[in-house]
This record gives sequence, C-alpha cells and structure tokens, in this order.
Amino acid sequence: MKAVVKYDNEPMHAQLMDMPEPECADNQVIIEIDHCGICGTDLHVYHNRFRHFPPVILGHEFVGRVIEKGKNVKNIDLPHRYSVFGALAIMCGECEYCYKGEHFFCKNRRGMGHGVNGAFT
Amino acid sequence: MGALVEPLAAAVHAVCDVAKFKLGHTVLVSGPGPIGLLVVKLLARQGIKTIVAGTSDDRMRLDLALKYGAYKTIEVDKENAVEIIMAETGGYGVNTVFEVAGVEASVRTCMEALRPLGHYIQVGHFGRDLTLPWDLVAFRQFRIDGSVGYVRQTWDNTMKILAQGLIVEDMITHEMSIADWKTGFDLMEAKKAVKILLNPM
Repeated sequence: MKAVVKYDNEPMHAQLMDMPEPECADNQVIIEIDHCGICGTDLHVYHNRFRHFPPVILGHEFVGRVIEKGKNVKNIDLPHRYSVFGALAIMCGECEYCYKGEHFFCKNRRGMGHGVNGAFT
Repeated sequence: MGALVEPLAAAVHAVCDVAKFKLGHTVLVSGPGPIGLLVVKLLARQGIKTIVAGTSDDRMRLDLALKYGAYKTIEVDKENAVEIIMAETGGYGVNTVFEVAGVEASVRTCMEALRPLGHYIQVGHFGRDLTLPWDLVAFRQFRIDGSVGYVRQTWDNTMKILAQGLIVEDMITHEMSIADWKTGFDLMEAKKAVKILLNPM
C-alpha cells in the first residue's frame, strides 16, 4: 500500500512509499482509511520538532471502516465507520497514570503517526 | 466530518476539562489554526466573549474565527494586541488565555494580556526553548495549566457535543490524495488552509 512515511531521523525526510499491508493481531482491527486530516503535529514531526520513531507513517486524525478484527476484539462492528483517538495506540495500562485514566502520561505511550504507523495511507 | 473528531477532542479537553472560565469572562485565543478555531467554536457556543489573535498572514483564519462567533480579532503585527485587550476589559486583561500558536511572541502577548490571578492554558507546541517575562507568573500570580490530548471521558463528551449540533465540517478547506501530501503540508505552513483531508490513492 502507498503511504506517506517519515523514513529516517533527518528533518523533512518524508515521501510517498510502498509499505507492507498491516496484519491483524488478536487484539487489533484493520481500518480502511476514508480520510485523514493534516495536524500541526504532522508538520512538527516532518521538521523534527516532535519525538518520533522512523520509519513511521504520518497522520493520526482519521476516520475509516473496520474491515477485519482479531478474535479478542469486542464491541466493534464490521464494516462500521469509526473515528479513532490514535494518540493512545500503545500504553501500558498498569502505571499510575494509566490507572487514573490519564493515559497520555504513560511512559510507554506511543501515538499513531509518530510513535507507531499512522493513517496517511 | 469523522476526521475532525480527534482534533475536536483536543479542543474539548482544553476548553471543557482544563479551563474554568465563566459566562461574563473575556477569553483570548492566540493562534487561529485548526485547534485554535475549534477552541473558538466551543467558547462561542457557550457565549464567551472571545478575542482571537493572529498575524496578518492568518487573515483568512481570523475571518473564519469571526464567522464562528469570535467577538474580535487582532493582527498582532499590525495592531497593539495588549492595548486593545486592555481597552476591551476595563484595563484588567482577559480572564483566561489559550496559547494555541506555539510561538514565543504569542506567549509573551498572552502573559501581558492576562489579568492577575488569570488562567494561562498552554495548548500549542514550540519544539524549542523560549525566552519569556516569567516574573509575571509570580507578580500576577497566574494559574498555569497545560492541555495535551484528552482522557476517555473527553471522547464521550466530544461525541455528545457533535450530536448536540456543533458544526465542524465547515473547517475543511481542502481535500486531496495522499500523493499530494507535500502540497497539503505547504498549504498548512503558509496558513492558506484550515483543515486538509488526505484521502487514500
């Protein structure tokens, strides 16, 4: 699939590239993107003003249809359309902040579009 | 519209979870980018007298702020923002500021335009260190809060605010293929767009 990828640690090193199709783990869903907005954070990542982990697909403000879900996923309907709060793609769920529901401050948090692959695809 | 839910949640967090303004207060939003304009929409919906500051490059976005219910806009490179704000607030300054630009000069304006005991809310990111009149924090006993992202409850609240009729799709100025992503990034940096949607190829 084609995607906009920040491909290394140099500023402005982003381009449209072929990336492998994602695989759906038991606790994940695959979403076919309808639209993804450009955020100021995408520009900050592009210019190396925001922490990121290249190579990474940019974009986190998205809506799309769930086309596949893992066997442990509940409360998600196919092919329903969802908006996604992608900033919390990865969090530990066990630290003091996660326990309080303040997942943004989990030390292990990784958001889509900079920490893990995003939605410009 | 769905692609605007995530940025709206960031604005809802700043306005509904972090801020503590009351009806009758005057609020400054510095930075009329997408999040700043969403903050304006949320404030206007609550009847708050909202002043929006930007530069003359932001004119298109400042005009949108007026359309979305802002009381007044200021072009900080052409007008004296602090003087105008003092005139609008009986010489006291605004009750609350939302710094949404992520620009050093904007922080300075926000601090100088904020009244003693006022509430400073940092939403914008800078990506670098700043030089500021930090003594004002003590001398005017500002309350300072950051606002980043959202909590779970913000998501539910965001969906309710949309269900109750807040319009956000009028912020989409452009839609293009991911193949044209660089054009989109350039439009954003030139402040010629508000929200740009990239679509799959």
